Amino acid sequence: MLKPQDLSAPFQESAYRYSFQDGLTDLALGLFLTLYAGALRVGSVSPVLVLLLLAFGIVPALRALQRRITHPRIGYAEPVQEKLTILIRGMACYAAIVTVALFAGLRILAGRFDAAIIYQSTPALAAVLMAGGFHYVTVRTGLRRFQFLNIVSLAGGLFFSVLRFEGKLGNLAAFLLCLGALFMVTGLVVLLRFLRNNPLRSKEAADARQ
Amino acid sequence: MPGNDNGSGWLGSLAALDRIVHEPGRLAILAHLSVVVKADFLYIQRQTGMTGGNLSSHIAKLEEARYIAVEKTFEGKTPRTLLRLTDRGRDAFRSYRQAIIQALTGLPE
Repeated sequence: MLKPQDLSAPFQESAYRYSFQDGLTDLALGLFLTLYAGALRVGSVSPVLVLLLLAFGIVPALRALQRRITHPRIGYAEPVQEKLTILIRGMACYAAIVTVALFAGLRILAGRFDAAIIYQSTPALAAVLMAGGFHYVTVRTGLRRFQFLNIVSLAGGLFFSVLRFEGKLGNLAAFLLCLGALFMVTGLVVLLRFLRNNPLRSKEAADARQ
Repeated sequence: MPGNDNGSGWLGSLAALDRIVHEPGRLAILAHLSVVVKADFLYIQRQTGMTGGNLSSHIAKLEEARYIAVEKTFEGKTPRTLLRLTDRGRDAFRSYRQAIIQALTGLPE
């Protein structure tokens, strides 16, 4: 008896992978993390300012670069996204659970729970929070580099949580700076490989096909 | 004869398949468009591995059947063809999938 299977998964994965294979997203994320780390070093940063930078600076720049570099080479597809409310609810639940779990773990392991230990553990918290996002992208796209970056991020988060730096959030800034640099390097490597493997089509060929 | 009844029923369900969707090239186009909001010509061409001319002729047939909507735009000076599955196309794709599963279920192992 033939059983109906969900064949949409490989097609969806392929569509999602398309928008991540150029390395530009990694570069944009790396730039954002580096800028954020720099702002943390300078002083306190308003979360609204960070969101504004992301929404009106980095994301539009990323889209413009993709229109110029990616789409003429491999085409354009807009994958079906989850409803924003479901996504935000999921992210909020995940963030609440890991924050409570991490702080409870800290209380048990360190035997105390104060502002100093919270600041000290912010790299681990940031890494665990980002792990959810990286895992989501890995599952969605099937790209293993995000799994690798996730593992490095988690290991780095733990590592920087035991190091001591100047300032309350000094270790978080150092962690985000290193992670941002890593993302920019991997993004650049992926972008160069992408450009080599996907040369720009001639204008005549593009016109003839459309 | 029961055997003949089954046979004719199976043949009937096979004969009732939507011929527009049944063609492998067009089926591939619909399958790829079914998981995206919209996609351009180049994306579909790379995903399906078809030549430009072949893809164009399949797109024309699907557009004629109103299974896909075609939007011609310009990105700077470069022409761009955006494709989107219509509700009618989505229904046809789903119905085809059900029909082919039913038809294949009737085949002897």
